[in-house]
Amino acid sequence: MNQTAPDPTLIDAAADRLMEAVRSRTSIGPLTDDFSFGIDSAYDIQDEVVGRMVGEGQTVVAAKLGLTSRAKQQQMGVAEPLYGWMTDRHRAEPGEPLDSGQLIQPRAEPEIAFLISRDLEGPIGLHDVLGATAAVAPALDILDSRFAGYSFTLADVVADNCSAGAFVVGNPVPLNGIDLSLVGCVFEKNGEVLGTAAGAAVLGHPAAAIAWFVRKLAERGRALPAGTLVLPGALTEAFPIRPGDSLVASFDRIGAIEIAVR
Amino acid sequence: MTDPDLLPPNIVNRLAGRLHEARLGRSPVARLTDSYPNLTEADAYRIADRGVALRMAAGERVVGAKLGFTSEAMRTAMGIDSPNYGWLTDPMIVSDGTVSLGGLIHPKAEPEIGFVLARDLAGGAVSAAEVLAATAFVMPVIEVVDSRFEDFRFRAFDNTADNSSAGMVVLGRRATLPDFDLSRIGVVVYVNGELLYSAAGAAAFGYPAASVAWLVRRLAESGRGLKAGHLVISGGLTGPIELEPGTFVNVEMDRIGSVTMSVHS
Repeated sequence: MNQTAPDPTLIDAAADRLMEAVRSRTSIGPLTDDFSFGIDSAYDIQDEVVGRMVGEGQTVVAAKLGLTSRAKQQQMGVAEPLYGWMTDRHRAEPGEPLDSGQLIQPRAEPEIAFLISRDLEGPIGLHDVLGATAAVAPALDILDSRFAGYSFTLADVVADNCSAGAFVVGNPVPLNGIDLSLVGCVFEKNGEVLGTAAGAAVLGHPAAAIAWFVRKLAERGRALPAGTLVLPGALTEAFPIRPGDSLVASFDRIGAIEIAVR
Repeated sequence: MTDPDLLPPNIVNRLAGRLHEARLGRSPVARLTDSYPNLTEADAYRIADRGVALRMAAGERVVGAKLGFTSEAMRTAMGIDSPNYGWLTDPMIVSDGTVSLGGLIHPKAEPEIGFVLARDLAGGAVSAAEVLAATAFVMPVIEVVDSRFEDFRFRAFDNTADNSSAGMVVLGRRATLPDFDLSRIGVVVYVNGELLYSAAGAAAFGYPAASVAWLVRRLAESGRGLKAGHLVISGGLTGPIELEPGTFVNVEMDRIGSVTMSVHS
């Protein structure tokens, strides 16, 4: 396949729009309405966006995967997931309310977060990921697409850092042989069950999704550094949240994470 | 004395007979509510009871019960505010994991948690905790539902009259004491090796034992109850699984084991 050189004008212009949307908390139209670019360039734009966050003094602390369910992949007409990066600015503290005023159109989804204790790199598989996993933890991923109404192409959402908005992670627990594919999850909002799922909803097994991620990073000559927290993909669909909402994601064997939205 | 709002007994008998014949002849019929738009829930259960009586007259035995409409989304879609139930008879139970489509009209399957009772259970105030205390064991099951109505289309009370679409129940291989929270157990459905659905126990009425407790309280309204040894299947946990000859379904339930089903013509 012919890899075209990144177009610096495109990358700057696209990153400008995305950063301005975050800053002004105002959604924008799809980048692909005005620019023509593929997935590789979309990751270049994402790198630029994340690089600018780091330039502002933020620290990358977590990675997240999207489109890890077959249903979502079919919906978008793609055959693989995508990834993005989150910084200390994205992290919400458990027990403290989530300030939705900082976000444009937040949606929440439950995840099993992984704490990776060793550098991971190259053509690895699920068991390599499990071997490098210090602990797992209940988590909520708060999406916040910069595109109005979550209407975007795959290239748009990759450029938009996988819709990263915020995340909150509960108490870590050691894996201890837990079969994560069978761990049940109940996601409730204001006392009502929004959805249920098991870990297998994430690409068959959440660690398989992380192995995909590491292999994908290798294509860009990168590794997943030890100490990174990884949110490997949603168990249920994402649900819109608004001030006053109380969210609880409970995971069998792992524990629960709760957050109040203000 | 007869209640003027209820269908006369001869009509109840006729409609039960119609559904009974539809099942035996594998020939679906029009919705009862098309001809009887004012059919009440009470009428629907009278028709279902009459249908069970016809099965018992043919030598079948009641071995348990099933719940329907245990998901909020389904109740909203059907415009009702409570689940419904039907009765299970011995020929419906499959213990070797094979289901033949030959005796069915347009079957679909869904995974459920089955409760086998250690003792009789009755009463208008029975709680989920009392259900668990009276439970000998739980097991994963696959329910095969089969509506006797054309195109699998019905209103809520049609479905109740049709014994809640009861078809067959494929039993899992393991029986477990429910000494953990069933609402959080993970459930994964693989069809021909591919993941189709995942869920957790809470998909059945928020808590599977709560749906059994609802059934006991509902039966108490007519002075009835469940018996020791009865199998109660507590409500579908995922969307429907389409079945055709050759379909192989494997359902894994965390902590309580698995159940498989191979489908034949």
